[in-house]
Amino acid sequence: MTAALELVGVTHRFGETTVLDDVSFVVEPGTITALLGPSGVGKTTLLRVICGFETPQGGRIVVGGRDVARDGVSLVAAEHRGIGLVPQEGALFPHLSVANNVSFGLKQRRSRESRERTSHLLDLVGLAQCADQRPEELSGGMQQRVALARALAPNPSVVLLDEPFASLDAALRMSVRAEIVEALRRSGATALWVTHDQQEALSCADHVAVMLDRRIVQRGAPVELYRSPATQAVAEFVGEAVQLRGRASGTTVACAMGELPLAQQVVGEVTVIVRPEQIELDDAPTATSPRGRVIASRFYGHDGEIDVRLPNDEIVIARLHARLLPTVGADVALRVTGQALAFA
Amino acid sequence: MTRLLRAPVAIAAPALLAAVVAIVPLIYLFDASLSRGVDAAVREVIVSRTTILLIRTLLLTLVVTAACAIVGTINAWLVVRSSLPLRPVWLILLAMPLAIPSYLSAFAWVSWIPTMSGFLGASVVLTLASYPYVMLPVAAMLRGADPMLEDVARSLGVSAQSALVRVTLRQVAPAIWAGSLLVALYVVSDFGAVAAMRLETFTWVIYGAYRAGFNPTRAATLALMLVALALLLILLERRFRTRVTQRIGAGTARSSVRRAPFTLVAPALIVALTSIGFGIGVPLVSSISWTRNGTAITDWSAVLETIMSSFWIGFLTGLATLLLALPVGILLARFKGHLANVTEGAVFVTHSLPGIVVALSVVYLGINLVRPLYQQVPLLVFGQVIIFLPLVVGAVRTSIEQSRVALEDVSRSLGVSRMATVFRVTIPLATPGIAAGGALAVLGAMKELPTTLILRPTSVETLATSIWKYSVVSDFGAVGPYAVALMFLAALPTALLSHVAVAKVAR
Repeated sequence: MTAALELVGVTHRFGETTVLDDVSFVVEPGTITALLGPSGVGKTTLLRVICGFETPQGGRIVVGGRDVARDGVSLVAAEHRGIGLVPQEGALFPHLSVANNVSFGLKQRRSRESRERTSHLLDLVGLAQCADQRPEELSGGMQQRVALARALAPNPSVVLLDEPFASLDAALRMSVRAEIVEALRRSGATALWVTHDQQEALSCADHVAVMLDRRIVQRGAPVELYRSPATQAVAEFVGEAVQLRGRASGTTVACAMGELPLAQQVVGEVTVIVRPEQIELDDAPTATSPRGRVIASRFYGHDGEIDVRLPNDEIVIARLHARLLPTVGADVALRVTGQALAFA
Repeated sequence: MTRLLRAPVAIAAPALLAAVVAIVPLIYLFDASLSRGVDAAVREVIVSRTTILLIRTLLLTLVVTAACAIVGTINAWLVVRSSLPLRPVWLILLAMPLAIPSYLSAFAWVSWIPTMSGFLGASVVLTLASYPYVMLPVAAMLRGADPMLEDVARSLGVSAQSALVRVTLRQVAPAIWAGSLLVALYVVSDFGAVAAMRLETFTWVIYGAYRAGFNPTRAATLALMLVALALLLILLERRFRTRVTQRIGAGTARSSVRRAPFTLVAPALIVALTSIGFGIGVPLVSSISWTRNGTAITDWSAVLETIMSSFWIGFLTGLATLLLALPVGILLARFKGHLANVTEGAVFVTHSLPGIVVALSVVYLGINLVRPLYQQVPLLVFGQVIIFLPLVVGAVRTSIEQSRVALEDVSRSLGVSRMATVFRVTIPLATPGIAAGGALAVLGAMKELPTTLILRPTSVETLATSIWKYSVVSDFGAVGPYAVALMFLAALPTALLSHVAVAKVAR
């Protein structure tokens, strides 16, 4: 099957500064891929390069089987690439009604097909009743849905969403996110979703491409990414990570939390990574159980976290059910469930 | 992030044309200045009269600018921060002196108090005519300024009066500077007021040199010196202007504006009433009484014809200026690069050209290059376009820069070409700025005196030239109807301008 979007070795510089370094990944048709990375890592530049607002100095960009940029030359102008864009904060045209925003990219905007397409898309995002309203009359979440409908209207090969919920408050973000994902699924569209929010990426996308320091360091399904991160940096960025010094001997590693089974074969001095939810209070401790003193406790409502200082002064974080949270100063025995990660 | 995009030809070509239009006259000015060799030009510079001229011009500029900074700031504070009722009406009334040409005020004062003629009269008239250049940006910035800061100062034990000086005044200081430099630029360029007050400053002497036998070296050399002076002011103004817009653009928390108590307002009110009374009252009352007491029987059909030609020339100038300013504004706001830099430089230099200088250089251009057009309407409009292009470009550019680039990106991602995006997104969003720019050009063209005097076809009279023609021979009865007509015509664009200028940050 032809990829909806494919990047091969894309490199881009602003003057002396390299912003994108050998970026390669594929987005399959009908899927949602999240491009996950911290702020300032080059995500927005990557989007602009894909859209055609910047021409990369090297590499190849393929949209729907057609080369749109290759070896420093833009072959297809931005307006002919067939790439929908949902920018930050929606960016609806303030001088046009909701319906006219949606029909903006359609040919023959006054035709019956255009009107039908517009009302179909407004239906899809659940805003059929708002067609004649002005953008400023809508809430932030509604504006995002109109922006999605507008991007989908000309039937693009792929829709790019650039941190679409950055401006919404936390409570609203969850529900709008669910609505957007559902609309994308129902329309069968292909989407590349840029975000710095790992929870958003892991929960919404079929695939996640992690971008760190100007390059894509790993691409995979959310579960795969969380369970088997390719590098220590990915492990630390995707999900919370407890770090310990350790000595690996193939399938196990010895560290302050005892002898732990490893997910992959490693030998030598390593950094051991365990997720906070893998660390539990040991209610039947033995002589060899790791012990420590609780130095901080955070109550989140449904659950909570404690920081425990181990005898060798290393600190681990444990995520516990809220009713199990010990008080600060208590001495506790711990155990680790599942496999640990180790990076040389 | 800079956008390294190449501008479409449909934007680049007219923008380049505008750059050429803006800069060509200056080249002719150099040519005229050096026509009798460098030595002759240098002699003109070093004669002692020139030094006195320079000192007098600088002194007038200093006095008027300082007075405008004070009056303009007090009036701005009054219309934004006071508890005065009907503040929007006060704003428009206080901005109205912009609608009254300086020469008209000057003649009104001289006919009322003949001894005012000279430095004092010119200072008073120019202050009353140009304090709105300080008031409007300061009012806009006061609207945008965070009133919380004043509250914080009060909570730290500072009195209302000193909070005003120590906090609020500091907040709007960049706008005061920027406005003051605009005033200074206006004063060195002004021809009408100093001519009516018979005060020998650069503009008046240049006009005299031009009229007295057409000594191109003297007129052109003095004009170049004036340009150098104005260029200095404009360089300073630009530094402050960027700071002003940055501060406004940062978007401070805008909670409800604090209103000052009446004890603070009362002295400011005296300043405002004086500004309005002397700024609009004197010329308006004079003009009306001239009309009523005029001994000459007014030829109303001639007045009507003059109104029509003023209106027609204003309209043509406004239209032509907008047509050139739009591509330039779009280029400067959206397509940064070499072409934009060159165009910006050209327009920027043009901003420092006083009307009298533009008029002179267009005369040389007309005589040397397009003789059939000399003293024809197209060349008059051409000259006025050069004068107002920088102002209109500024208005258009600012309003384009205020709309989000993302909107244009979205448009292109939806399959709309760059040019179509300009028409479907960029221009509609910049409508307020474009309207303000157009109003600016029309208003300016109707008031503009030296360009019209020098470049108009001999058979055509505008309101400005008619007022001038009858005033210089003290036939004020005949001036009246033209003066009243010009003030009423100019009031409309002035009201629109002051509204846009202050509303911009008031959302």
